[in-house]
Amino acid sequence: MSEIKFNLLEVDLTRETSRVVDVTEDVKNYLGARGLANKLIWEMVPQGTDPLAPGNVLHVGIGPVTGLVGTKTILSFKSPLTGWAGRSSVSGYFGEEMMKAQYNAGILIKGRARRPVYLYAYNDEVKIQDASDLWGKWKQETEFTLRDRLYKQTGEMFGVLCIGPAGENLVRYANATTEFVHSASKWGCGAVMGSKNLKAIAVRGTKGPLYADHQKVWQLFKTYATSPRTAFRKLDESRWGHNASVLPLLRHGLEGIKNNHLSYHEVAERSNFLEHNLKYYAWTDGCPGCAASCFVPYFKNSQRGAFGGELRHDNMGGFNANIMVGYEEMTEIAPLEGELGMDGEELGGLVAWAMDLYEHGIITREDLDGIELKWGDVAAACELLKKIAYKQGRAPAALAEGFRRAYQIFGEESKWYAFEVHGCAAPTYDVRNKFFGTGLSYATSHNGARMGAGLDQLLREAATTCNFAIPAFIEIWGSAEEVVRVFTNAVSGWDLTIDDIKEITLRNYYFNRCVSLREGYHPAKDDNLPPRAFDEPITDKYGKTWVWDKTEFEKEKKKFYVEKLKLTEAGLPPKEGLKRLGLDFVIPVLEPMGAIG
Amino acid sequence: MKQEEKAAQSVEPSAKGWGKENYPFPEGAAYIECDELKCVGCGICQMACSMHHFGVINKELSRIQVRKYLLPLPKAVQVTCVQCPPQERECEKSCPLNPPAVYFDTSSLHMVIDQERCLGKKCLICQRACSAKAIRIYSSVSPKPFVCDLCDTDNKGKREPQCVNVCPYGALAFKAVVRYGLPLSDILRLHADEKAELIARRLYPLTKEKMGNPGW
Repeated sequence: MSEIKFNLLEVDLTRETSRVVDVTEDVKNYLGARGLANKLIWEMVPQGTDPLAPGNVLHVGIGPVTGLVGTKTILSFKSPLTGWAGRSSVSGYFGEEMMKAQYNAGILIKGRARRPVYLYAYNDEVKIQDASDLWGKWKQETEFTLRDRLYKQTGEMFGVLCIGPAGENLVRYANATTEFVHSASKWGCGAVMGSKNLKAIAVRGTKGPLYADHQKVWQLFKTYATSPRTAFRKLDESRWGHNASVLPLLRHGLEGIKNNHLSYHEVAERSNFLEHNLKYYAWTDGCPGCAASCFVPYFKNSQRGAFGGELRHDNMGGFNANIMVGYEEMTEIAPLEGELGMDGEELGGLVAWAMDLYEHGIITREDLDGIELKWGDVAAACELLKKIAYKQGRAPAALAEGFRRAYQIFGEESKWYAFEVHGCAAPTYDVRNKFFGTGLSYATSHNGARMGAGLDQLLREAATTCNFAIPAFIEIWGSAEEVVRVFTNAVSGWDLTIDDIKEITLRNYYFNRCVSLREGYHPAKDDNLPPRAFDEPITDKYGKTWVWDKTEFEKEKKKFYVEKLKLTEAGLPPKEGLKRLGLDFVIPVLEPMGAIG
Repeated sequence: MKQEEKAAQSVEPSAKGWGKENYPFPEGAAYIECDELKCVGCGICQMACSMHHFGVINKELSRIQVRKYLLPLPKAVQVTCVQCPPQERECEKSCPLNPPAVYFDTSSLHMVIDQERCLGKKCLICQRACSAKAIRIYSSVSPKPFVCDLCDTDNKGKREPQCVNVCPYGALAFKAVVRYGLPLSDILRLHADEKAELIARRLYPLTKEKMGNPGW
């Protein structure tokens, strides 16, 4: 079986040039997307670079199995929110277009354009186009205008990933979106795009994906596509999408209520997915190659106007009961948040915090540019969202910078009210609750507090499998490693073993942590939980109480480093391990910083 | 047992499909019907199509098309040839050749494009005549166009549409052209853009420019 090549499209916005680089050897070592990006960031972004400076890079990554085990595009960059290694992940057919254009190792964007531009890639034709007429437009209009324009020009439907006003205004947790409802939200990729004057990326490929053995790939894929296990999985995903995930979390004390202050409260029951589904369900939509189809958009026509969008845990968690509202109100807040282009989880945590501070008189109506920010007030929340995106007013401008920078504006007394880890809002999967183990996984994350920090995720996001597509594959093939192995081998023509896959996973995890360590992260100073995790217990609907004890936390953390993350007790990558995995080049950089175990 | 071997054993042999292949076979002329509201846009039908006809996975080489629209909610819309009844067969009527190079084969019961006689790229009148643009041309493969042959590529009369079998949402069905005693399928012959425009009306007054901002 012949092997395929992995092509990376490298675009320099400063020089307005592009070229295709063969990165096959690197993909063998790291797989694609988040794995490959570690190397690109390590080599191309000098230590200490300002994430919003032209020196930062943005890797819009796909990997060997994009379009087969779900369709994910993973954006990697140095995060403007934390300053450490950042990544955002987005679904939708955008990734598949890159695959079909045969940029199967993604697109790397460097430099900064002199004026607003968008990147146009139609198979081999790559152009940097003027986007001054799109600049300032909200997301829906941006995407629609651009898609429509390109359709008229070429007769082809492009995949468009774009930013909204928040990204243009460098809000540190701004996101990028495709098909309006699919957002690459975490850690501020939208702000990185904005800092590069890059309004959008439009890709269309008609060459078809590069596979070493189409017959083999189809045989594997058809096994998945026609399996009864897949059929069973899709029943749940396609009916509720992710509307159904919030209520159980709220009942079991896993989701913030009133800025994570309250134990169970009846407002939680207003996150009623059955009611939402019966009233507003539009249709089910999915990503290419996925039979799970977990996107269930809604449409609501009310006297206040027409609303449409999608409710998912990631764009509601943080808001919702955390600002004392239910789904009815979220149907109006969620699309606005999408239009402006900000990470819902971060934004929700910040808005809830602002409501808390307003109640306690730490910020005033004057700070908020005239908004009376009361709990549960949708109109006030929407007004605040807009002001944050445009950085209008003292408090909204501070909130646009994230928690850690806002402390300097709001003062010391604002700190206790903040529910954040590593400067990232942590309203969802409450860190006090030990059910999902987020207390430890958030606290020990070198990316910032979010799901997707562990070893396992570094494999999934290097191969680009989707977390909601892969369960059916795992049921059929036994483990995520095996799924990645069989599909990667069929796609690339390689002969990877399970041990190779395990080694790649660990290599990617260590390397990702090393990037953060180089940029100032250190477990000794950073791996902690907010004060309220230790002194404000919560009780769930069924009477179970959760809180952390300091000594217990320190003990559990050490155990977590060693057993789950394969690190030393101090949370550092072991020197021997780095050498064995071929990462010895990081040692001279990190050792003087005290960042090697 | 090694994990690898265990995993290999757990792989089940793939089924033929989701069950549609067990439905009664339609009598006489039949076509693939798309249920647009059920389609989720996974494109597995396209993968099956290109695999069957060209031996590669490439949705661009598929005779069935799935397009993603923003209405403004994302919505996938499918289009394929509906094997029009004779009176409504605009492609066949428009072919400049005599007899036409694009025709309905009455023995194998599906549309056929005579790859040898067809004038190909320089003509394509049939493609313009079809309001659904169901006749496809793939420059990278051939200068001659293709049309849905119900997976009877050798024209032996063995119709077995692969896309219908793999569609996980039952959005595709293999149905008889004649319904209630009369031919009907051509009414479904609509371009994806037009289908999308109609579906978009369900969301009125939501506009393509604004998703959820009533102005406060």
